[in-house]
Amino acid sequence: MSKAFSQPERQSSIGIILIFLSALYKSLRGLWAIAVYALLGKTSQFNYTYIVLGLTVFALLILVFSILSYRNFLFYINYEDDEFVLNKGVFSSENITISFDKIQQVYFKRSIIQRMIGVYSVVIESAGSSEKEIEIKALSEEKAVLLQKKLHSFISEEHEQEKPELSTDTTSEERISPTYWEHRLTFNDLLKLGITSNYFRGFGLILIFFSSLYNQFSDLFKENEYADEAANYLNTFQSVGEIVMVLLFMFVAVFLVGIVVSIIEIFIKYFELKLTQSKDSLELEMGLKTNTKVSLHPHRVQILRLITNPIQRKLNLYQLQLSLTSSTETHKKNRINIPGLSWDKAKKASRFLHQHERKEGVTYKPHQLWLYRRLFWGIVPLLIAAVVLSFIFDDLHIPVLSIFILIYVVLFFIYQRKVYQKMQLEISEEFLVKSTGLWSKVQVVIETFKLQSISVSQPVWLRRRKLVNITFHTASGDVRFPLVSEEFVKQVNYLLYKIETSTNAWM
Amino acid sequence: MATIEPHTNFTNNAISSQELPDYKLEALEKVSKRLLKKILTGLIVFLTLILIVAGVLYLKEWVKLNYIFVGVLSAIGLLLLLMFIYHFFAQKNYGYVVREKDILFQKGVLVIKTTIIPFNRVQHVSTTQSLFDKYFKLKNVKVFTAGGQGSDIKIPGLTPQKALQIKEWIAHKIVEEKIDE
Repeated sequence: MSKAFSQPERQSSIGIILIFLSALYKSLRGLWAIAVYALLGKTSQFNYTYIVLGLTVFALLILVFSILSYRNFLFYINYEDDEFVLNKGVFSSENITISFDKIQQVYFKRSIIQRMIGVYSVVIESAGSSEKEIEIKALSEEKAVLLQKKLHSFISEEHEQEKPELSTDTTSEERISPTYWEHRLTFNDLLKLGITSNYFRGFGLILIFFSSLYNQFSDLFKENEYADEAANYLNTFQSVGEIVMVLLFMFVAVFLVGIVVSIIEIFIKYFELKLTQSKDSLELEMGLKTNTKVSLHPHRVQILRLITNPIQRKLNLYQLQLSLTSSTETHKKNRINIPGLSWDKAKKASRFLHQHERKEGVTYKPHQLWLYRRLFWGIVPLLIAAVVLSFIFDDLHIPVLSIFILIYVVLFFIYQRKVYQKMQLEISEEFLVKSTGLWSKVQVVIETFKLQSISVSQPVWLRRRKLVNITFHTASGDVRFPLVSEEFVKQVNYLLYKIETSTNAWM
Repeated sequence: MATIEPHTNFTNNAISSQELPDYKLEALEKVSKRLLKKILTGLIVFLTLILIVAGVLYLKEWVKLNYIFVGVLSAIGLLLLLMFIYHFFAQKNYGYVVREKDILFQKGVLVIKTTIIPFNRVQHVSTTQSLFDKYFKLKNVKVFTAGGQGSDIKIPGLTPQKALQIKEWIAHKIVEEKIDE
């Protein structure tokens, strides 16, 4: 084996541009509110030459910083101690060492700038919470691929030493002659996904955007200006009909904007998505702003979620969400979404990622108490608030208000009842499947041998009813199921038995 | 050590779930009575410190003996009393069972939580001992999995011998697993 990277190396020299731009961006980001203020405000007081001069000096300092940062960024492979070593830092120096057996995976990422100057980001993810993932931001394609290959070869070596019996598994026949296939998202697919995905999420994004804008500018505006204006505006409405019209109009507008935002978000996230199955992993590549390449190995996937909604199901669009083993407590970040899969491909991918075929099992439902609780918390506080408000303000249209509340209560009841009906937990020989969701349907699939531990909790007020809440712990987060009867204990015993007799490597 | 003996031998034949060992039927082993003494001592030491501080403040005439001062003191006293009541029930409810292939731990006052960790999913085991623990001859056993905080367990108030015994037992089981693989 050739000893590539045995000498300390720097990144591609063109990477200086990247470091410079990102340092510039970072330092300017904090100042942009001031800049806008200066431009809008009394600019005449400033002398432009000073501004230009100041900015030039500032840019020069950052350039010097970038060059130093580039020069001090050195990495190499220590073949003797089986580890990857990285030295970096301008003011303080940092030395990071990752031994090969701690490396989880190595993948590429590319932002627009990285694509323009033709370099790759190589991300090395490691286990253990003390070391974080490291990113080498500017490598030529050739070097990036070589480094990935080198490190991957070490990982698989480690793995084979540990688990030699994996190939004798029953599923090995399929692994040796896999059905290779590919999944790509075309422009049309992306459009379809954008239109049919969750609009409320789009709406939420708008809210977040505006609230952050508001935070940035809040001290620039006088406080009461808008509130007064809004109050005046509301006062101009005389009849209830007009208010309903306005609400309806606002609802439609929010809905439309939500769709547009969803479409844009989906294009940015999943642009040119490509999923290919190779012999022992699924290769995923996607993204407009940052292009990510990941290898998904079955042993790293702890939880698999299959998500769809009625419209998407009509269009044969399913989304797979994979939770991988994570080194930190932030499990959300380590979820990988693959949208726009046909039913067939979603099945194929799941089948590849799982050791066993899925079979029918025993299903469980939460106790009706779950529904009553939901109804209580959704309705009673609102009713109390309405009553209190009607006492405080005399000029409330009480009949109108009660009609609105009545409609809400009926809709809420129907909705929650449906949600309750859809909720179930299925335990089969090798799988644990939790299904939830009325509109956006989610199926959470866990292979029983990938469970880490199980918790059963019982509040004292549920003792009389003999109900318990169950938490399944995996290496990428917990899955809970509420209010099952104590009968479920026998399934806990069964699951423990499955874990304890399993010889499969869970990671 | 009745509980550290093999419970039921697993077989790999198909078993109906009725035949599986039932964790609910296990008699829980309780933690040492000295744990309550330790908690009580801790609270008393804390209360004494508060009283000393209050006494100094009063004698030096930095604060007057008004309603606020008395109010704050009695609030602290009440809080300590509540804490004691809480800990009293908490230590009563701690229970554990070490079985052949897993460890079970139960805790909680208003919500009783039982966590079961199979030995072949244990990342590592450790024992810890604070200053107070040392004085009361107590030790804690911590069992970590890859499942994050919610899935780890910490058994407090064990006698040092028992803590060591449990730790050794699990460590031994982990090594055994590795060899099996």
